Amino acid sequence: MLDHVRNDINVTPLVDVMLVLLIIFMLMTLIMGRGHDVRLPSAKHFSEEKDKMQPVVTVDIDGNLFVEKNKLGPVTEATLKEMNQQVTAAWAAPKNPEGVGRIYLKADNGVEYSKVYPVLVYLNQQMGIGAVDLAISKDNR
Amino acid sequence: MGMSTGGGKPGGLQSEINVTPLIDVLLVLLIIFLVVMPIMMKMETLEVPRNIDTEQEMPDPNASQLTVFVKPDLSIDFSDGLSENPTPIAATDLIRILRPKLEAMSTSGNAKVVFVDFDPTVPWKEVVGTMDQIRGLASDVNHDEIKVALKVKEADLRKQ
Repeated sequence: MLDHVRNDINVTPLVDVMLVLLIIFMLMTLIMGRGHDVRLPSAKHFSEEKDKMQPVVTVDIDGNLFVEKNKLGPVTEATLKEMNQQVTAAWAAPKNPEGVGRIYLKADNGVEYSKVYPVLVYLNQQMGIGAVDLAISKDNR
Repeated sequence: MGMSTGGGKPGGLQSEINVTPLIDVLLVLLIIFLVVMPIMMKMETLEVPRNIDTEQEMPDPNASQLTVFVKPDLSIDFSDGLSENPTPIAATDLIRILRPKLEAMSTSGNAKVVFVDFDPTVPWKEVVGTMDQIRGLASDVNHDEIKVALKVKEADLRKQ
């Protein structure tokens, strides 16, 4: 073998590191919950389903409404209408067709029922949703 | 993947461990875990019957419509649709009272429906907790046998 100078950079370790980083980020996005982060109520008797990519609607402790991660503000007629538009837009371009017509509703542990009720009624009366998927956390007791 | 560790001079000792295959294997393992572990969303499904459907789904809404109303102090007004006035019960008695009622309901393919209503000040935790208790009475694995339905106030029903 000739003892010539190698000119090219060895990219293998670089590629390895990049791949690992890529995978870490992929995992992060998978593990991170969708929607705005709230303390979910715990429950024992729940059904587990694969994520159908249905739009996530969140009500936080102060009664603010979120669609995915967008804050719309306090639950009012106007923000509910805004929610309707965003959810309908999400259904129109579904990532998973099974998520169309479904809503994943996250509400904070401590938020009063009166803050969530208008959302439920709006979903039902204006958007014709017959069953809402309520987000819960697993009860480990 | 090509390895280049400096041409391998004869007699030259190589002291570092070759980690490339290790990393390869780890990457493959990571990818396998990624594929095997899909995200599961944990959920309880709350039925919100549309008033259009109500008549079709429940032929005789007054027959035995189980209604649970949770008051601000978390005690419960329970109504089985048979007696005029709801019975006040303690929250801890709910399961005990509800179980025989649900078992008495016919299991002719239809899901058993329990209507729930809450005082506006009840925290969401208790709302879900009550639903959870009711669903826990179902004997099937997915707890889909018993449907928990939200009682929509008359004033909020869309005018036909």
